[in-house]
Amino acid sequence: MINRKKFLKISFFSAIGLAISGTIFGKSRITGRSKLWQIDPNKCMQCGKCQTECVIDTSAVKTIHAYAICGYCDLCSGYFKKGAMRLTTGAEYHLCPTNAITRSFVEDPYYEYVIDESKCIACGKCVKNCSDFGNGSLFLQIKQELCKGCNRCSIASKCPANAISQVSRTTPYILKGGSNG
Amino acid sequence: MAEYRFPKPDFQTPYNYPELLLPSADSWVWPYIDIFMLVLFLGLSVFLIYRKRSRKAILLTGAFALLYFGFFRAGCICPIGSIQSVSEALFLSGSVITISTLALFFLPLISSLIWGRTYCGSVCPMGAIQELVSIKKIPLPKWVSKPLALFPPIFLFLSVLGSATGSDLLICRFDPFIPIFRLSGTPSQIILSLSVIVTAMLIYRPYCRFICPYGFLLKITSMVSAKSFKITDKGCVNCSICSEACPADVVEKPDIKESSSNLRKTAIIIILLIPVFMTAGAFLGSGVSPLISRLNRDVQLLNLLDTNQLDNQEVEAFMISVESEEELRNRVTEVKRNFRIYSIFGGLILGLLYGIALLTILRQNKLNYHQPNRGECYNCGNCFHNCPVEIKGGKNDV
Repeated sequence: MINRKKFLKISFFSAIGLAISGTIFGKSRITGRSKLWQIDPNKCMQCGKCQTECVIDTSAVKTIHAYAICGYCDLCSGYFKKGAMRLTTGAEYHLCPTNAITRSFVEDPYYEYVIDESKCIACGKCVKNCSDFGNGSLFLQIKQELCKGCNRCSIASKCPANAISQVSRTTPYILKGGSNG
Repeated sequence: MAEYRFPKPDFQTPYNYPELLLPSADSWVWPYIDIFMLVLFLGLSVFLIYRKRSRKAILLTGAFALLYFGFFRAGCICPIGSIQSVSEALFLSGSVITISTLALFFLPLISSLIWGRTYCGSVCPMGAIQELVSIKKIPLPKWVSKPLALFPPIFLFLSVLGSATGSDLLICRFDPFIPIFRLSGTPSQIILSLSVIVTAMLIYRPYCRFICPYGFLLKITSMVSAKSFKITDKGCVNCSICSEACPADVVEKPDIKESSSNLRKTAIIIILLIPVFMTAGAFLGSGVSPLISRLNRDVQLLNLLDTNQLDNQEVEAFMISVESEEELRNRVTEVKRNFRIYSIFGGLILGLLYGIALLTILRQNKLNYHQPNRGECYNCGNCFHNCPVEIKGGKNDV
């Protein structure tokens, strides 16, 4: 049975609980649906942390190709290492450590570059060189079907450019301009 | 539109730009399913402690909770971690919290206010792991266990501070169970996890007793709970078997009456000392706040700048960003000021809590039967499982 002392104690704690909820409600900081994590490609520095900091073994970040921006160059700076002796599919000439980029001939002098996401480890090498020497059509982005949606993204807390933030579920992807064709 | 280094290709043959595959995230329904499951398990836990009173059922429920919340839902987000979300929502501008996370934070506490810490016994997956690996239950002397029990409120304070200032999620950083749920982790995470598991094999529920910050909240709510379970309602014979059986040694025996005037004197001394404890806490808080403020990224960044570590990636990123050094300096001064205020306030509260804790040691058990300490009992069921009066009554599965 509840005696007066207990009643007072329970009221005290309930009051604290209500105060906390009231403050949170009052400041309108409650959202119905949780938010998703996304990288802002314009802030990204391609530092390499996307590969190492994700809590999942193989990062939820993948390289996405904004084809509409791509120059379709023969000598793609995101594909070939600097000083590549020959422009072939030989692995020794490629930047990508996992051979995740496939190069195919379209028409003279254009080549198509496609990322195989199952191989991409988000090291950012292709992205860095593409943005330094090419059009910057390659960019790193968090794939929502892979991302666990952590309370605080551990890549976000280590990102030197503070490029990762939360977006609403209605706009789950931030893309580099014109990449959906 | 920006000018690109290379012009858009002028395809002569028909060419279709490839489609991008951008799948959407997990259904937003899952957090609400989790809340439903939490309510279910909480209700079940109360039933198991007050009606069914079966240790086997408690262990089994805990195992299922471990399977669902731990392995299936990967243990994130949990009520312990929700402390961080609530702190952020309260103090950090621009942060939001979901209804499901709020529910995750409040539901076990509300349940504890009414029925006690049944969450710990049958619902918490972290507790369930520790129960399942508990082989030896080496008893700890009071002079070891009592000081160690001071750590959870300190950890609670530090986690709230870390989240409120947007510096770090300390509970997640030092979570020993998440590598088990995810079946992967960094080397330091795995070492922490293995250490806690090995300790849990030798000592009963080490994380619950000496680390869990949410457990501290459950402790204070359950100490004033409306209802509390009796070890036996068939007439305690004071044989103390329950006290021996309790792995956490929290069963209180009827006290030998100590002179109440002595107790009153000690109580008055302690109450008079409380302002001293609080002042000491405030000074301590003020003293350690520069150290704690280093959790914050901006503070670390300014430190890197001031010590001229210009080849660091964070510094590089800052140099090319739009923010000026003066803006950063102002922000860091603000952050450090906040840390100082929160630390002093936290020190005051911790000093007060220390005084209250001392007072509770004086509290006498006025009952003439054995009863678990409501604040510290993890509702594991070992007491009534071993109670001879209960067993004789045929209520137990032996």
